[in-house]
Amino acid sequence: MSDINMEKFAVPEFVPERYVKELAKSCVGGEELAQQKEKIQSLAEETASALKKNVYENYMQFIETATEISHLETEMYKLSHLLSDQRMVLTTLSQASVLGNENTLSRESLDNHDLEAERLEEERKNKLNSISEKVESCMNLLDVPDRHLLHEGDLLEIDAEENTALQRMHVYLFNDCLMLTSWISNRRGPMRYKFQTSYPISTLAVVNVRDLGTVKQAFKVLAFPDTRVFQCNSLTIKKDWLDKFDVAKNMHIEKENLKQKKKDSQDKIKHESLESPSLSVEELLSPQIAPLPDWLADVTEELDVFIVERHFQKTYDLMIKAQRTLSTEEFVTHPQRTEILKKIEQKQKVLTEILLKELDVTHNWSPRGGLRSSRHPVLILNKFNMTSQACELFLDICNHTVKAHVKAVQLEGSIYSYVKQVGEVFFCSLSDALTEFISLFPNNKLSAFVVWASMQLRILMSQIIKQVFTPQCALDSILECVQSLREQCTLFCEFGLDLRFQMNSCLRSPIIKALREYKEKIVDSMKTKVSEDKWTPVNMHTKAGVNKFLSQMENLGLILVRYVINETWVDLSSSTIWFAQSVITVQNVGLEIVTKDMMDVVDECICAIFSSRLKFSTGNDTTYAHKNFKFILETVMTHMIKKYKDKVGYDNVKLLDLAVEYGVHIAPPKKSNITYTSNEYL
Amino acid sequence: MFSAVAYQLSSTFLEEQKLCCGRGARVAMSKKPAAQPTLHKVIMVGSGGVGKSALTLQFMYDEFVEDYEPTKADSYRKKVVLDGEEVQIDILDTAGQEDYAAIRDNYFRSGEGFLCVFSITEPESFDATQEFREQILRVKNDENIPFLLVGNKSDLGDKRRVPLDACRERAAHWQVPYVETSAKTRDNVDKVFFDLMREIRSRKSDDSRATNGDVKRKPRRKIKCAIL
Ligand SMILES: Nc1nc2c(ncn2[C@@H]2O[C@H](COP(=O)(O)OP(=O)(O)OP(=O)(O)O)[C@@H](O)[C@H]2O)c(=O)[nH]1
Ligand SMILES: [Mg+2]
Repeated sequence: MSDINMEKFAVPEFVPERYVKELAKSCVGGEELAQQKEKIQSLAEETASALKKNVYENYMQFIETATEISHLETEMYKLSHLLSDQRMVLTTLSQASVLGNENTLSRESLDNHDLEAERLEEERKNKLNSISEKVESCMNLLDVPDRHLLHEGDLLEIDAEENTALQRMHVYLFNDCLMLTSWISNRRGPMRYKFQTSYPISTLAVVNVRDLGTVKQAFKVLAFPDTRVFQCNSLTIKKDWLDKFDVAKNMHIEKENLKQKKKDSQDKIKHESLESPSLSVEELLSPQIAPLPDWLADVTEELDVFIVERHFQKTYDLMIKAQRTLSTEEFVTHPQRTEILKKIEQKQKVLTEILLKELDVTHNWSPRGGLRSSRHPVLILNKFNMTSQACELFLDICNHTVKAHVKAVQLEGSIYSYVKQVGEVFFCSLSDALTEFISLFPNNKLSAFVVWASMQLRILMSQIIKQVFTPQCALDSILECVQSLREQCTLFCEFGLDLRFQMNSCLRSPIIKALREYKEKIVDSMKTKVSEDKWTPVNMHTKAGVNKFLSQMENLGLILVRYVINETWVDLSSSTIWFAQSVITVQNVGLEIVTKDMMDVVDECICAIFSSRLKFSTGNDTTYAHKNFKFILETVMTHMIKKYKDKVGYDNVKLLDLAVEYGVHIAPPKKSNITYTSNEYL
Repeated sequence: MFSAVAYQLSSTFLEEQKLCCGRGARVAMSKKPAAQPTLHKVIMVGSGGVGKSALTLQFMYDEFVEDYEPTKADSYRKKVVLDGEEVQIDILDTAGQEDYAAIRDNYFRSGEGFLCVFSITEPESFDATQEFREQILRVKNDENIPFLLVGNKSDLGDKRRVPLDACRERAAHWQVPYVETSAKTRDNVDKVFFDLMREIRSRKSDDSRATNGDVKRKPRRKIKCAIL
């Protein structure tokens, strides 16, 4: 009853009054009416609770979506941070070269990078503009030509004197200044924050707050006369901020130094032009120690700056330059020499540690940069005679990329197309790794690569074998897969590394197993197939069916047109057709798939299948059965013996023996000039 | 479309939540009776490795750290009782190895008093105090800034390479107290911090008297607002 009621309520022209009237009319007596009322009431309750549940569910979904979206947002932020980090490095690089530092990019490559630089400049402006859009009454961010964002985030400001929370801030750190903004609590439109103030980096001092009573994870920014204390949500966030401030500071110092240097060199030129051009003899012979040139005296600081800014190549160059200069005659006896050399050695240790970390896949290495990103670290490490470590780490990275690439291939469509793709991807990454390896490491390390590559191949093969060599996979699709892998492997030989032996040794035992299993399957069903045979021709029903059959058999090498009778019939019994197909398949596939050392397995399978069929000759004396038996011996067997010889160049002795035993006369092959397409893998 | 709405809603939701928390925290904090005690800001200066951090940590936590880990810029705060009055000391431990003077300036500006530390085993660190002194006077623009010359590592008497006379002479020349400490044995550690706080306190009361119209004492800050 309630069901009907529900439907009635749902119609659009439902009028409650009329419904009640009708209900009242149809009910007999007050009791029934009360019953109806109860029913309607319970219905109402049900609906209400269902509604509540729906609202709740929707709400939960809504919350989930919302958190998902905020996750996404943070992801995007992280991405943009990464990008801005990269950009920072690039801009410092190009900056340095514009300012004429000799040991940076050459003019030529700079020109090549003009376009890139333009794009970066565009990006930089976009980023700054997008910040301006978010910050109410924002300062003009574009007024400084090379300003870029180093870091940003939410921080809680703490009262410096009282240790109490003051306000939530969103703070932007640029390379040249710090900008503080507060949150707009009831924001409308795109503005999120309100500009408060900004401090130039040159007037800032950042303090790590180690102890401020109950306030944890805080840092201080001293910008006379202001002192501002900020609390972070976690220690890592704080560390991040302090690190970024350090970066800003070092960039600032470097810039100042460059300015200073430029000024110095200009002064020097002026000075020199004023001085007399030739030095007197006394001056040359004076026992006084020449002061170190500025760059040499400051070399450790400069190295620090380079390391911090990740100019690893520059760091290395400077180190070498300094070491060389210090061992020239001029400085061999200099009192500061040993001290500076010692310091350089320390820096070298720091540098190598950082570089090793850069290459360490387990240590926040990311595949983003690809193999190429490891080039610099490896080359520098090589120069420090740390080739072995670099090589190991590099191969670990290769491991990672190969794995990632192979993993990215989806198992879609046929197993063959999957294997083909995996093979392509694998050998492709292998060749990438190899070219990179050759360009990075000296020849004596090549053996490490070979060992690594065969290891990789073995891992890959064990995975593929698990997927391909299954009972569900037909023998000919196994063949397809194996062939495509071998093809790839052969192509890879062109890179100078032949992995075919390794591949075949991996394939050997699964191939043998697959052939034997196939043979056993056929042999096992032989008896039922033969005994259940009705020994009549087979009806293919349609002309198309016949044609299909004929072309199938032709693919196996048998032309059977003369066996077609009455248009749609084939003058062979069903078991005979099945047998012919099975045994020829095992020979065809077998001869393609095996390597020479497994030939006996193929022979064994062929003969086993044959002899299991020939055993049944005696039991079936009907003339039709006999006719089929004759077909098997005279057509199938001769065909196979001939095919075998064509393929491998010699006879299948076991099968010949069998033929002789059953009185088959094999015509000696005509002398013909068949060139045997030898199996490449034999 | 939905996602945009949802996002807006969610962020306002989160904001509100945070605001609530913030408010809660503020309420909890402001419940504390009375304002925080007076704060005295002390800065540790001196060359790298002379024991600035060691002195600070000994004073703060009664512990001596044997390992040397160069400092960048760390701050500590502690409540102490100074002559019966509860005060707070804020210690800024700076980097001896910060060799970029312009950056050091920024730190020094925030200090009300300085402990200028050298190691009695290392003449170079003693020489460096001269430069630190000059920089502080330049930055603070005040000849009478609370300042103590501290000769640390007094426990290493047998390795002493800076004669006591030279230290005393320099302190006298600057008209500042000279104290020898050991962060290792805790010798004179409290003394240097408390002596400096006393100086800072008396300077502050001098200043407030000066600004309150007590003109008997001549104001010590000579060109007080020049740097502003
Ligand atoms: N024997 C002895 N060793 C000390 C004393 N004070 C510090 N040291 C040691 O000297 C080394 C440097 O001490 P730190 O306090 O880290 O030096 P610092 O002045 O803070 O150095 P920076 O942070 O680089 O400016 C550490 O190994 C300390 O253990 C002391 O009073 N006696
Ligand atoms: Mg320290």
